[in-house]
Amino acid sequence: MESLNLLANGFIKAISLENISYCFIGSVLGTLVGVLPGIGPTAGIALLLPLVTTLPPTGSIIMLAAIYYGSMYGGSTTAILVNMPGEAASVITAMDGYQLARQGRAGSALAIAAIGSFVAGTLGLLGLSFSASILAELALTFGPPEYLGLVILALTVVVSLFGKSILKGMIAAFLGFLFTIPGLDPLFGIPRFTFGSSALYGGIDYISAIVGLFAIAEVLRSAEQSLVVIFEKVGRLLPSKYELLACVRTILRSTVVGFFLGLIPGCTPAVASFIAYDVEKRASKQPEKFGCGALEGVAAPESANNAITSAGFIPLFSLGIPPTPALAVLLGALMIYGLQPGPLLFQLHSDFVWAVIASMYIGNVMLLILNLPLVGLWARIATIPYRILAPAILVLCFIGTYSIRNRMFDVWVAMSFGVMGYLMGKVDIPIFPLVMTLILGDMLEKSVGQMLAISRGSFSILLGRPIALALIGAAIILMIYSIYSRRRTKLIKKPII
Amino acid sequence: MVRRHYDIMKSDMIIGTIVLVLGIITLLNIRDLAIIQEGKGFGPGAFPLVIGISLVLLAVLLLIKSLFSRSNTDVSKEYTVKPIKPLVIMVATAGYFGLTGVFGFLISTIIFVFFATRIFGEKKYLISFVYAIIFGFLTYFIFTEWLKVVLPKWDW
Repeated sequence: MESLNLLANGFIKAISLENISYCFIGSVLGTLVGVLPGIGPTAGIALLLPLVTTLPPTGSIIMLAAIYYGSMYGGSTTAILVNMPGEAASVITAMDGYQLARQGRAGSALAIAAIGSFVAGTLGLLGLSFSASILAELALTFGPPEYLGLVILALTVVVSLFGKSILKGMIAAFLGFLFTIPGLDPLFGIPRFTFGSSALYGGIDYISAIVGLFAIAEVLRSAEQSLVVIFEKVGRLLPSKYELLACVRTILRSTVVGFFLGLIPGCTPAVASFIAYDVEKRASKQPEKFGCGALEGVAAPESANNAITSAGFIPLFSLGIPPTPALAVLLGALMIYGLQPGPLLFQLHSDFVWAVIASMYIGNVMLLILNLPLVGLWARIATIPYRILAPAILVLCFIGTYSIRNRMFDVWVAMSFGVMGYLMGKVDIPIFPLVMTLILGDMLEKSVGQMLAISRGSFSILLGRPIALALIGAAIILMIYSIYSRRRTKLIKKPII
Repeated sequence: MVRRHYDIMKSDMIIGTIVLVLGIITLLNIRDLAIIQEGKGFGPGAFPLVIGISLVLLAVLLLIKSLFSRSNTDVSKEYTVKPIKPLVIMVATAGYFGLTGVFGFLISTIIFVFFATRIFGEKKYLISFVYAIIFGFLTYFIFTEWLKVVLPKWDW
C-alpha cells in the first residue's frame, strides 16, 4: 500500500512538463540507439553522459533510463525489417522476425514486438514498484559478506554464460580485476600501481573503458564488414486477433523469465532473450516453426528483454549493484549527482527514485506510440550509411570520455580499451566478464576487506551468514553445471571432417 | 585469410603468454605493498597478489590447453580477417585524439571527420568536406555553447 502511495507521488513529479520532455527525448534517443547498428544502449548512454552535467538530476536520470529501455524497442525494428539487429538483445528476434518480414508479415512481427515489449515492460515495472523497496529494506541488513556473495554470483553468471570457453571468460574477468588495481586502494587509500603517474592516481575510469570496449571496438569491427541495408516492406501493421491471442501466453511467460533474470547481476537483456526463446521453443507444440517465422519467436525475446530492463533497476536502486554494463554507466551518472544507489537511496531520496520509476511507465507508453506508427521512419534511419555514422560515433566517444574528468588520459583509456576489445573479439575472449569485474572489482575488494576486518581475518564469519552462503553456493553450483554442460556438449558433438 | 585450428592454437599461446607476463608484472609490483596488516586483516597488496597468482595460473592452463588441444576442435566458424581498415581507423582515431590537444576540438574534428568518411568508403570529396564542416560546427556549438561541456580549444 505504501508503495502505491509513493508511486502516486512519483507520478505527480514525473508528469511535470520538464520531466515528460526528458522522458520523450530519452525515448526517441533510445529508439535511435536501438535502431542504429554499431551503437548499443551501453555506448549510447555513455556517449550522452556529458549531458548529465548540465541537466537536473531527476530529468537526466529519467532521460538516460529512457534511452536504456527505449533501445530495446528500437533494436527489434531493424532486426525484423533488415535482419540487422540494432543491439545484442535483438539478435534472436531477427531469426524469426526477418523470416516473417520475408513472408510479407513484417507488420504483424513489428506489432507483436512492440506490444510484447510494452506489456512486459509495464509488468516488469509493476514488479519493480512493489519489490524494489522491499529488497532495499532487506538490503539494509546486508553486510560485507552478503555483498561478497552477490558479487561472486554476478561474476560467475557472466563467466559461465558469456563466451565459448570458461577459461577465457575467467581470463577476461581477472584482467578486469587487474585494471581496477591502479589508483588508490579502496580500503586504505594507498596508491597502487601508479608508476609515478599522477594520471593513474584517479584510477582507470570504467566509463571510459566501457566506451572503448562497446563503441570504439564496434566501429573497428564494423570497418571489416560492408553493410548493405535492404529492408522489407512493412505491410499491414496490426496482427490478427488470432495471432495476438496465440502470443499472450508467450508474452506472459517470457515476462516472468526476463523479470527474474533481471534480478541476477550479470544477466543482460541479450541473455534473457536467448533463454526466453529457448523456453518458448521447448514449450511450443510446434517447435519446428521457430526459426522459420514464428510470431512467438519474436514475442518471446522482445518481452524478455523489456522485462529484464525494468527488473535490472531493482538491484541497481536497492543494492547499488548494476546488473548490466548499461546500468553501470547509469550508476556513474547517479554518482555524479552524489546519489549513492543502495538501500539508503529509497530512504534519503525517495522522491527521486519514485519519480524515475513513474517516468518509466510513461516512457513505455511513449515508446509504444513512437514505435508502431513511425516504424517506417525508424527503418529508414537504419539505412544511414555507416561511413557517415562511424566518424560521428568516434567523435562522440571523444566528447563522452573527455567530459568525464576533462582529461585526455580518459580518452586514451577509451582508445586502448577499444583496441583491446577489438582484439579480444578476434581471439574469442568475451568482453562482458572484463566489464563486470571492472565495475564490481572495487566492491569485491572492499567487501572482502571489510568482512575480514570484522572477523579479524577469518573467513568463518561466512558460516553465520546464510544469505551470503546461499549466494556463494548458487555460484558454485552454477559454475559446476556450466562446466559439466559444456563438456557434455563437446562430447556429443560430431567431429568435423 | 581463413583461420584454422593451428591459428587458434597460435593465438591462444600468444594470449597465454601475454597474460602470464601481466601476471608476473603484477606480482613483481606488489613488493612494496603490505599483504597482511596487523589487526586489519588483508593489506593493500593482498588483492593484487591474488589477481597476479590467478592470472599466472590461468595463463599456464591456457598454454597447456593450447598445446594439447585436439585437431578436431570446433573450427567450423570460418571468417575472413581483414585487419588493414581497422588498423587505419585505429591510427586515424589516435591521431585525432592527439590532434585535439594541439589544434583544439573543432579543427581536429573537421579534419578527422573528413578523412574518416573517406576511409569508411565515401567516394565524393565534396560530401566528405561538407559533412565534416557541418558536423564539426554542429557538435561544437551543441556541446560547448548549449550544453556547456568543456572541450579542448586551440591555444593559438
